[in-house]
Amino acid sequence: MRVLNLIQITFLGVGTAIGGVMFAILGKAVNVAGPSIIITFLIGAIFALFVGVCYAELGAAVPSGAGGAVSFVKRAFGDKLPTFLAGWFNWMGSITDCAIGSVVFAFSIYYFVRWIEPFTLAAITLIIFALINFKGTKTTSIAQLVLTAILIFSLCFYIAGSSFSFEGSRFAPLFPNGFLPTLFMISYIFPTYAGYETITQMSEEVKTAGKTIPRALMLTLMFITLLFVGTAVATIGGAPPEVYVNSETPLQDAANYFIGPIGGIVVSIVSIVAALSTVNGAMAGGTRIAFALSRNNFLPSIFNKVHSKNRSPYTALALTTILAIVFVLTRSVDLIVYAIALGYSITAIIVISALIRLRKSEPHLYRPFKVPLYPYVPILAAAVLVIMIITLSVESLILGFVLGVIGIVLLVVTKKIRKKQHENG
Amino acid sequence: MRITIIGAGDVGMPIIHYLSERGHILTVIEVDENQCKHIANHSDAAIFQGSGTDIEIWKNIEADRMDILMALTNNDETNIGACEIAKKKYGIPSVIARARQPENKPKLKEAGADIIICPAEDARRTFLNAFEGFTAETLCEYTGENFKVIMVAVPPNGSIIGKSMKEADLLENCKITSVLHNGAFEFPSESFVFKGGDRILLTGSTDSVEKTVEKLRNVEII
Repeated sequence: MRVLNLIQITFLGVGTAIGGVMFAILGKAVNVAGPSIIITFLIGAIFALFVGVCYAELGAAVPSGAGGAVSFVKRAFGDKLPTFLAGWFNWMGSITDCAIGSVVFAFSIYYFVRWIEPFTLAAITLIIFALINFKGTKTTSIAQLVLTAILIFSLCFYIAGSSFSFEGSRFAPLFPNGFLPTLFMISYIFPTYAGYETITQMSEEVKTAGKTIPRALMLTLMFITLLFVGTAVATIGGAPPEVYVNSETPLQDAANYFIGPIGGIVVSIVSIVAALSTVNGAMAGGTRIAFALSRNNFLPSIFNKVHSKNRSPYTALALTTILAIVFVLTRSVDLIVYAIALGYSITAIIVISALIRLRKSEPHLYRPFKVPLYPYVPILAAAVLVIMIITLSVESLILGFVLGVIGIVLLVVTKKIRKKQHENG
Repeated sequence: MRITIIGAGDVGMPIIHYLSERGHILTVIEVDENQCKHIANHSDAAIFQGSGTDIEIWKNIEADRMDILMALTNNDETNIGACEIAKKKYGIPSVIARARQPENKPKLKEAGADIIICPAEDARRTFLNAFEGFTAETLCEYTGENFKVIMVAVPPNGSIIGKSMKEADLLENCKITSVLHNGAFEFPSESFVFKGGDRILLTGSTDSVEKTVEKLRNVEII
């Protein structure tokens, strides 16, 4: 049922996007690029906009966009490899987003109580949320609205708090390590923008989606850019780098510096809230993608199963959770963040290809929103994404390659299993 | 239900709005861009800009899963073409078509339309009923077959009163199917005698029925 209006879906988008990533990476990002990371965020926002308008056109025009990326690509390419890859990498992105959420949660708890080692706690958190999701409990949009409102308010509180110890001199030198790190870090911070496009996954529940989805995407992007840039400015200006640069909880430490322990506590609570809503949302989203992949015969049919009582796709949920735990147990925040970047970028590249393909194959499909300056914007967006993938660390490129290979192997195996099942009747 | 609507004009647009609000899965084919924009802003239909007879568009609308087609454009040729594609190529179970000119109703039927609605005819009938003051009500009219059904009341001082069916000498192409009076009806025989207040159900060719109505309504002026 179509129940969501513009304000609600925008809140959902903002809430989903402001997840764990920001809270985890700001310290390291400043370490590499210095105060110019602010410019990185702005450039990142422009690239996110280029990609966003592509999602906007498809989200508004393609009917029944449940599953977001998968349904757009399926419409353009049918049940072929690109559709699988889009779903696979979208799934990877959700899994790792879920993982980062659990990690941020664990480290935020660790800020207060040092009983359990954070990565272990993260894994346990994932299991707990898997059980919650198994029960079929859904976060209502009211809860998301409240959570997002708290999140936005708290970030504003943080930004305002920095004024107590704000010193403009901390912005010089703007490029302490030269100009290149500023550019290279674009791929590192890009995952902070990932998540807003999941709005398109919910287009079936949005009123007059053709009009609302594009507006929601643009509004969401605008809000999160303001919040990210504001948070970065506040952090860099409000505290000296030593305070947060090597911390796993940079914002907590900075807030502690601005206004004392109360600041650290407030930010910790907020990051707990943000992290958990990311875990919940990404776990549900990832499960949905896995289920959709299985329904489209891209995964073994065992992942089609829906629990008779709880109506949850429990096998898809279990697999999603297990994979998230695997990522957590690598104990590498960098790896997880790079995987999110890869997941988002590769999916986006395939989605952009779908956009271009669809313009040719379905010229009559009415597009309430059209990307400006076609074909330059989508081509530029795709080129930017490719460059971003290339400029990730070598490890992450290998990771991407490995994930792709695993995916294709899984697909081949799936086809063989399904063929056998078919033949045996 | 999955419904495809061709034409989002005066007739189509309100229907699109109504059906979309009730949660039906709509696909709309409309030729005018401004109308497409309007549809996008006020409904959740999947929209295709172009002609309802464009086979290329039909290939992309999942027509094999469609329950109903409604051809609502103000161009009968388009409606006829759309019905043909819907029924003969895709076997859509229920095809509803609008006929702008009553003369095109047979062609729409031939093209596969299950239900044909001619707004002009319906309006004409309603206006005439108002004009006739509901003492003679046209119940049904098929201009294609030259067939009309009218319910007419014999006035209290009608000149037909007291005459038998034989004496009334009614026209060949008009049959009195039933007579209603005082909570009962009968199928009149030749010996039936007209009374004041009788409600007569006439069926037959349009002109014969209309002439018979005049005869039955006739009042002698003293």
